[in-house]
Formats: sequence, structure tokens, C-alpha cells
Amino acid sequence: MIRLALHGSWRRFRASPALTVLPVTAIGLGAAAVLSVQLLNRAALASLDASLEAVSPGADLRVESLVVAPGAVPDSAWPAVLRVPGVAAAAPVVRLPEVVVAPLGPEAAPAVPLLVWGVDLISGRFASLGDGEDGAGGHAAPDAFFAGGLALPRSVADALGARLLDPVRVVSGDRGREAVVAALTDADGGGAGFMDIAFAQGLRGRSGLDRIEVRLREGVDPDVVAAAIAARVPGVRAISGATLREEGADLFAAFRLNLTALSAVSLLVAAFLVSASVRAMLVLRRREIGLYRALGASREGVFRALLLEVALIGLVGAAAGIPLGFLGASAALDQVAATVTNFYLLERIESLRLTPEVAALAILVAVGAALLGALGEVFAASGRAPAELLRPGRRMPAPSARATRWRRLIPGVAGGGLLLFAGAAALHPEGDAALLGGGFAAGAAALVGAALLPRAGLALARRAVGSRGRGTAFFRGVGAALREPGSTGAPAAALTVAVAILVGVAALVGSFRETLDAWLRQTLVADIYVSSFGARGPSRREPLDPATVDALLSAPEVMNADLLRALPVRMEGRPVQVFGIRPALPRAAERFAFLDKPEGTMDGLAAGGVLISEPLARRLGLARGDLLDLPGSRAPPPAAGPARAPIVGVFRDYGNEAGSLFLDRARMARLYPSGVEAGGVPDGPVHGVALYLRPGADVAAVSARLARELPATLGVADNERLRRRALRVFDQTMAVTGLLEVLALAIAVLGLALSLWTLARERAAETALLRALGESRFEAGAGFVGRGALIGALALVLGGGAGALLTLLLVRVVNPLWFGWSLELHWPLASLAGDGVVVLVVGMAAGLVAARLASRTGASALVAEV
Amino acid sequence: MGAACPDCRRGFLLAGFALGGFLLCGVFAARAGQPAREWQPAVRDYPWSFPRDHWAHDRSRTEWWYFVGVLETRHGRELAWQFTLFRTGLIATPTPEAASPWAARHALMGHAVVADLDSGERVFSQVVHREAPGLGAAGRFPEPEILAVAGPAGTASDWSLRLEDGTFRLRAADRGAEMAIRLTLTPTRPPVFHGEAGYSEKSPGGGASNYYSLTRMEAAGELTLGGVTGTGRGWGWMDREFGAGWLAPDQTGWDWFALSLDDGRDLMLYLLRREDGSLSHADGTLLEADHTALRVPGARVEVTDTWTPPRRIARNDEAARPYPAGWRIEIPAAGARHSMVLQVRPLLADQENRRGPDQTGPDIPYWEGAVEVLPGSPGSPAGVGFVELTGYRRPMTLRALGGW
Repeated sequence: MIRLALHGSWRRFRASPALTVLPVTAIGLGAAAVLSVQLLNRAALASLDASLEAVSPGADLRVESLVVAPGAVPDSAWPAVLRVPGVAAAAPVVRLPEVVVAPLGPEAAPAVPLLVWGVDLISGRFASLGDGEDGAGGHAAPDAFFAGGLALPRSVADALGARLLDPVRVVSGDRGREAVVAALTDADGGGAGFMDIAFAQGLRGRSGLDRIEVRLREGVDPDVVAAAIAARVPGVRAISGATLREEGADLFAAFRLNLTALSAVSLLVAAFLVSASVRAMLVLRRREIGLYRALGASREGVFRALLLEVALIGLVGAAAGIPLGFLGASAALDQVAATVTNFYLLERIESLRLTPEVAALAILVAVGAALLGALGEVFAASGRAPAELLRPGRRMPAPSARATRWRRLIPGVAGGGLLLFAGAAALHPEGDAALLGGGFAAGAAALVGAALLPRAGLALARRAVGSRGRGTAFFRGVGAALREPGSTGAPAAALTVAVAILVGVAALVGSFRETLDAWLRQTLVADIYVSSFGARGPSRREPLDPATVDALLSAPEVMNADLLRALPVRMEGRPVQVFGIRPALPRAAERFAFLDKPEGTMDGLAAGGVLISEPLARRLGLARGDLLDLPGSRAPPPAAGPARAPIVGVFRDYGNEAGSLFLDRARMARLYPSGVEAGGVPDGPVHGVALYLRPGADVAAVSARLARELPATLGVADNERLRRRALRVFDQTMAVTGLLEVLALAIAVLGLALSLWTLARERAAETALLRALGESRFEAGAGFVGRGALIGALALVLGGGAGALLTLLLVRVVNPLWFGWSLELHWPLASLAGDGVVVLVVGMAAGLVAARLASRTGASALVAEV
Repeated sequence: MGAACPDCRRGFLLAGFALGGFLLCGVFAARAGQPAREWQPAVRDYPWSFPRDHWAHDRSRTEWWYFVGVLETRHGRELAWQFTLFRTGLIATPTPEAASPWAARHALMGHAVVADLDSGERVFSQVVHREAPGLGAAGRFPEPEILAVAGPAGTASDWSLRLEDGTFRLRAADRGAEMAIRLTLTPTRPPVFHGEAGYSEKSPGGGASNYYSLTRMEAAGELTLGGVTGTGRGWGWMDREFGAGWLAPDQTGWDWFALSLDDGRDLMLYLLRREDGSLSHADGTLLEADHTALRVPGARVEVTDTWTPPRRIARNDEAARPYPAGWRIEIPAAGARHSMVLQVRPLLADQENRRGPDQTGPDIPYWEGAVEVLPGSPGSPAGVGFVELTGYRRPMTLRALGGW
């Protein structure tokens, strides 16, 4: 059978290479889309794992601060945790992510960046130096280690040309010192360095721990111990590694699901294309199959052989798709990495890893999609009697009238039902239908429903306008398409899905962009913004130098200034940004787009209230007037535990889906003591300054001067530039979405071209007869262009409707539910109209492929058919 | 219990040994090659001053307070106990860069044992921390606290040694192991100085410690074993050494005897071995009933029995030797003193201190246990005591202890 399949595949390729190349390309593109999205998703998860890395073997709990900042766990927490019943070991950890180790000497090798852990090796075995320390070889010098030496992976030491007890220079940030190599470990290339915790803190320049890793006694309930730790040590939480990972994965689940759904759509569209190509292949080889059947091949045998051929298409498609997907993911890596780092506060994605299981997944979905697309056609073809198959002519025998009616009726009814379901969800965003599967069930229903409707749509159109196709060859082609929904339905379905995606995503992106732009215009009221928002992401933000702040405040053009302090905290497992601002400034309330009335909000803020963002309010189920515990804060004595504050306003925030909240700076300084010297600046560190210039000041000139004079690590932008930059980041984030959208459309157009080409072959005798009766080559071809135009128009109508539905679902259900953002619906009509023209044009262009074939069909083809 | 980092698991075994090897080497060995020069070595003619010298000596790299004894409870249980605190130097000179609460010059380690000599039930516990706030600290004379260190993980109370009104107060607890020691020890004799006026040579190359003992102390208090607390009275012995390190490179372990004899005399004896088992150095002190201390350098010790740890315990120690489990000790006659022969045998066979599966800290097994003394010749006394045997499961050298 395999030989038969291979032989069949080869024959097909020889007879018509396009029939193999096109489905292989489509499947390859679909598999590439799935693979690249999977690679990016996994890379994002790997970056999450990187931030979860444990230093201690067998750690059951991690104790971390509710404030996300280096050294935020107080040193006193370690002895306190150590004394909690049920704890078997507690290992404090200081993490120095960007240490540079440089050899000393005149001919020194280049410096090596290294993650260095500050650990405590005194308290016992509950800390690891990495792999393979071979005690017998004397590859460690304990005295040197405890005197501040560095344990280096052997690979790093080799790169530095350093041996045991050699001096090296160790630098972290602006601090550095000499240290000796105190141990060589055999960890893999990704291995980290180690130093004693006291010296790690010294290198960082401040006390405090990053976390404490805890091992529990056998049989102890982790939740009980975690609660005891949280009760004894204010401002921290104890959490298992598994929960941490779940929290992290949940953090950008919507982001990953979005990409996965789009890539799956590409594959779905590819399956339609396979369906069209298999149909074409069966037309070509109808007699051959009939011959096999006449010679005794069973239906099952033919069925299996044909499926095997299709599976080969899937395999070859996967083979092409895997490298393509990897390249695509590599190209998109920077954008996704920026999203993950900026929006989710995770470690930076460094690289992609094509693992065997991801490759296997790509192969599986490619073969699966190919088989899914081909199943119906192959089943129908293998079920035909040999006599039917051997009948003269090129058409595949039509199924019986009854079967045809059912085949038209069932998808139509099912599609209508699914669209109704999606419509109900869109009209009632809070209803069960909308909430099923987080809104994605309704979205999928809209797409599948749209895919099932074209045949019924063609039937309806035929009833409405008739199918005689009078007039020009173009309209005769339109009529023919209406008459033959069997041949037109599959490509129309594929194009419909692609159009629906195109419309849905374009309208969502348009709505989002408009909402964002309006929000930015409303809230960016200061003239110039200076901030330390670096490439390292918000969690690594360093405060501005007090001298810089003083210089900004005393600039002659500056009339007023707001000093912003930023501090990420953990609230129910998610990073939430706490900001401190000065509520007493003029026009202070204008900085926010409140969901309800803005009156009194700034007074409330000054009186100790908080403003929270809409995503945070949605997630926590809070509203104005409710009380909020401020995680990681220290309530003023005599109260114990975190401070509690009333919510005095809820504002829109499209910059952070995890949420943000604002406090009065002075109050923030009391609740969250920084521990960092802020110089003469009141109320703690400053991470950003919003400058309000005097009337008449030249904003551009002042901005340019500040950019020149301030350190290069600071960002300086006037409000217009900041708005443009925010929109650019938005566009960058949406670029991957757009890419996948275009991919789906490209595959659909390929499918359409293939279907029409098949049709042209099927209709060769008919075309030949018409040519013999005097039809010109142009007229013969124009019919197929007409068919393409009809399919394009049908896809536009049905896909446009389904796309509108999808837009409503995305804007009204998915976004509020997953991201907590309420968006204003905005139809980018010009862009959609442009897309419509493109679809029609590409529909007709697809018809040109078939038209070319038809126009070459001469009267001699008529002879060949009889 | 989840495993957070499988890759780390492979590595930590060796890394764990790293510290154990380092600390115990610091404590026991401080062998040649380590930069001990910055620490104050043992001093000849040391100007002893009590009670001041019961407190820590900051410039000593290594010092310990070794308490052992037996308590008889009101219900007739005989409980042997050990309470030892070690202080070992990490950095002789504090480094200004390490501006951190965890910057420590010393590490502190504690060992505690309670054993029921009738049932054989025995629990060993240990703690080890850097000397830092919340983890442990050496007190300053005349504060009553001599040393305190945080208890084992999961235990709220510290392990501590205090001296108040001439009485030592020992506190140790391990909540997980259901073991606790709360004892007072009152000296009944003045300190006995070993070697030359407390300068105790350990190796021909100059290795030595400043060494004294308090023998026959009156013990009283509570011991908890298996969650059951017994109150009673008994006896105790304290050994106290400090210096910068005293083993020679070829010395791999020792046998140490602390025996209280029925005739009122006390005997301290140690034998340092080489890797091949041969005797490297030996010395001893016989404290007469009238508190006169005499050196007994020529004691002859013969092993009469051995004990091998079960294979399930010692399976990783390919080079393990059987522990001696019976001795014939002959103290030759000197001057007016008659010779005596003592037969010494353990009161329990398995009195090995080894780390339990739930415990952290170094895993350096050694045998430390209560013994009885029988007369080995007519006129020789009987008695009780403690014996310590090191370097049998693993040689007590830096290299073999794990590579640090």
C-alpha cells in the first residue's frame, strides 16, 4: 500500500506539480505558523522558568516579598522562617543577574557576564554549588570562598583563562571588587556563579534578601507552614514552585492563547486548501482509481492508499514548515520578547529551542490537518463504484441528489446555529454563552459557523438571483459557480474564515488603537516626561539621581513638576505597579481617565485613598468606595500588618493588564520605606518626573536640551513623542497578530486558486465545446474570473458578517474578561474597505490561474474526453 | 514534596559535603596548608583566668565546649547525653566590602545527643550557622551567655550555654527529633589543665591546643527523648580546647577517653592515628582525687573488640574501618603511683553521631558514647566515662571530607 501511495504521489506530482506544491505549501505555512507560535510560547514560558529557578535542591516553598524589588525580603526573615515549625531547612538567596567577571593581567581574556547567586553554605547542605564538584581533585578553596571568593563554572573559568585561586574582577552595576576563584564547578554552559551571601550583598551595595528557599519536613502540610510564615514575617508570602509557575503561566495565558488561536486558524484554512487539492487530484486520477477498483482493489484499500498519499503531503509540508516556523519565530522573537518583558515583568527571552516534541507537534498537526481536509473527499471517491469512476469525462461523479441535499442542509443549519450562539454571546457579554471558554468558545463558533455557511449561502444566492448567468462570460461564470456549490463551497469556506479573521482582528486592533490614542491624549497632560524606564523593564527601574531631580525642578522653564515613584508589588500572584504621585498639583485629576466622575478623587488621594486601574478593579472585583489592603506595606503603629486604604477612583489603564494603583507620594513613603538614600528629594526615590512648563515655553527646545544634558540612561520625551512611542509599542505588539492574519489569507487564496484550477480541468470538455462553438479564449477564461469574483464576494459578505461578530466578541467579551480593558468600538472603515477590495481582487486573481488553463483548452480537448 | 531543580540535586551532594568538610576540618583539623597564621595559635604558658576563659576567644580559629554525661531520672532511666558547641573561624580579618548583616568571622555548630542506655533509643541532632544576628552569637564576659545558636530548622528556641553563679546552664532542643536538653552543671573540682599547664601538643610539628577539663560536675535537669521528658541528677564532664589548629597532615583521626574512676581519680587520654592506623601521637592526664594532675604519656591501649556500622548506614564509605568497641588500657606505674589496667566497653554498641535524613549540616559520622570501666587487674578501679572515635568511617582530612 505504501508503494501504491508513493507511486500515486509521484504520478500526481509528474502530472501536475501544482497539485502537490500548493497543498504542501499551505500545510507548510500552517505548520510553520503553529510551530513558530509554539516556539514563542515555550520561549516565553522558559523565561518564566528562568525567573523561577531554584538554587536549593528539593525546595518546597519559596518565601518572597510582596514588594518586587531587589533585596525586598528583610534579612530578619531568614532566622524567623528558620524557626517556623515544619521547616526542615531555609536557604537565603541573593540574586545578582548581571555580574561581569573579568580576568586580571596585561593580556587578559574578555570579560564574561554571569548570573551569580549569593548563598549561605554555612547552614548546611541545603544549597547547591552546581554540578560535579569533585572533592578529590582539590577544585575548591573554602577559606577563599568564605573570604568573598567566587565559585565559577569551569567553562566560565576556562573562558577567562582563570584557575583556582586566581584573582578576577567582579562587577555588578556600579560596584566592583577583586575576588579569587574559590571553586570550579562542572555545571553546563548555563551554569551560574556563587559567592557567599554576605559578599553578594556587599557587591549589590545593600542588605536584604531576594528570597528564601524552604524545605519542609516529611508529611508537613505546605499550606499550614506557608500561612505560619506569612503570619510571622509581615510583607512576604510563601508559595510552592508549582503555584509560582501556574501564576506566571496564567499571567500571559491570554497572550499565548491569542497567538495559538490565530495559528490554529491558519492550519484550519490550510485544511480547506488540502480539501481542494485532493479534490483536484481525484479528478485527475479518477480513471486510475476506477481501474484499481475494477482490478479488485477494495474500497478500504483505496481509501487507505489515498489517505497515505495525503499523509505524505502533511509530512512534506511539516518538513518545510519546521524550518520556516523556526525562522518566523526567530524573526518575531524580539517583538515577543519586548512584549513579555514590558508587559509581564518576566526575564528576557534569550533564545528559541526547537525541541523534538515541538517538531513532533508540528508534524502531528500538519499530517492531522491534511488528513482532516482530505477525509471527506477521499471517503466519497473511494466509495464510488468502478463503473462510475471509469465513465468518460473529467468530472468526479456527483453524489446522489438526496445525499447532496443533506450535505448542503446540515452544514447550513449547523453554521447558522453556531453564528446564533456567537451572536447571543456578543449581545450579552455577561451571559453564559459569552463566558464559556473565556469568550473563545463563542469566537470559535463564529469562525466555524462562517466556514459552514458558504454552500447554503450559494444556494440562497442562486434562489435570489437565479443561476442562468446571462450576459458576458464573466457573469456566466458567476452563474456557474452558483449552480455548483459542491465545487465552490470549500474554497469559499476557507476564504470566508480568512476574511472573518481579517475583519475581526483589524477591527479589534483599530478599536484598541483608537481607544489607546484617545486615552493617551487625555492623560498625557504634562509637557515633558523624564523617566528611568530602561530596556531592562519596569521591575529593574533604578531611581533617578537626586541631583538630576533637583536640576529638573530648578530649570527656569519649569512651572510645576510631579515626581513619580514606582514600586512593583505582588497582589494575588500578579505584579501590580504601585505609583506615588503628588495629588495637589493643578490639573492633577486630568492625568486620569476615570470610569466615573472625577470630582473629589484628588482630595481623596491626598487624604489617604488610592486610585486603582480598571484591570485591577475587574480582577479583584473592587469598585470606588471599597477598601484595599496594600500588599507589602507597613501600616503605621500601633496597627499591625499591611495598611488598608479606600479606593477613591477607578481609572482606565491600557499600559498594564496586571493592574496599577496610585498613592500620594508622601503616604507611599511612609507605607513603603525605600531603604535607599533619596538625597534631598522629599518622600523617597523618584523614578519619573512629569514637567509642566511655563506658558510660552518651547516644549521641543526644552525637551531637546534635557535629552542632551541628562544621562543617556534616562528617557526624555514630550507628550506628543511619548504618545507616538506608546502607539509604536502597540503596533509592534500587534505585528505578530497581523502576520498570522495575512498568512491565513494567503493560504485561503492559494486554496481558491487551486479549486478554480481543478474546476477548469473538470470543465475542460465543456470549455472545449464552447470554444468549438466560437467562444474566444478570453471569454473562456473570464468565466473563471467570474467564479473567483463570486467566491470573493461571498466570502466578503459571510466573512465580513462573521468578522463583525468576532469583533464584538473580542471587544466586548474577550478583552474585558482576559485583560480587564474596556474598549470603545471603532470600525476602521477605510482599512476594511481596502481589505474588501483586496479580497475581491485576489479572488479574481485566483480565478486567473484557472482562466489561463481554460483559455488554453482547445476543441481537441473535447475529443480527448469521449 | 516537590523537587524544584533536578539538576541541582546531583550537585548538592558534593556541595553539601563541601561545608561539612570545611567546618569539621576547621574544628577538628585545621591542618597544614590552611592560612591559619592570621589566627592566634595555642600559647605556651597561657595565662589562664577563670571564669573568663570559659567564654569565647575571638582570635582562636577553633574552639569548643564539649559536655558529656549521664543522668539518672526519677523513674530510674539512665540517659546518656552530649552537648557540644563549636566555634570555628571563617575570616580572620573582616572585609570592608562585605557590608552585610551576614558578614561573619565565625561559624557556630552544635551537636546534641540523648540516649537511653536501657532501651538503646538514641537521638542525635546538630545545628550550624554563621555567627550573625538571629542565627548565633558568642557572649562577652561577664554576660552570663557564653554562646547561643539558633536551633535546628523548625525549632523555635536557641541552643545556648550560659554560666550563672558558677553553674553552667545547657539548653538544646530539636522539635522535629523530639529531643531536648535542659541541664545545669556545677563544677565540683577546679579545672584540670592538660599537657604542659594547658598547652596540649597534638603533633610533632607544633600542632597544639590550649586544653582544660572540668570533671565530675554535678548534673541536674531534664532530658527529652522521643517526646518523653525525664528529670533527674547525674554527672558531667566538660572538655574545652581552643587554638588555631592542631592536626598534622598525616593524622586522620583519634580515640579520646574521659573516664571517671570509682577511686576518685579521673583519666583523660587521647591517641592520634595516621591514615594506616598506626599511632601518631598520644598523651593523657590523670587527675588524682586530691586534684593533682599528672601526665600519663606512656599509656598502652589495646583494642579488644570492634563494632561495624550496619551496611545500610555505612554503604557509601568504602574505606570504612570497624570502630573499636572494647579496650584494655594500661597506665604504667610512676613514682609512688601503682600501675592500673582498665577494661573499657561501650554501654551501647551504636552510639555513632550521624546526620538524619531530615537534618541539614555536615554529615561527618563519628562515635561518641557512654562507656563503663571494669578493673583489668587486681586493685584497678572500675568507673564510667565517655569515648570519642573519629576518622573511622571517613578519614578526618580535608581532602576526604569533600573537597572544600
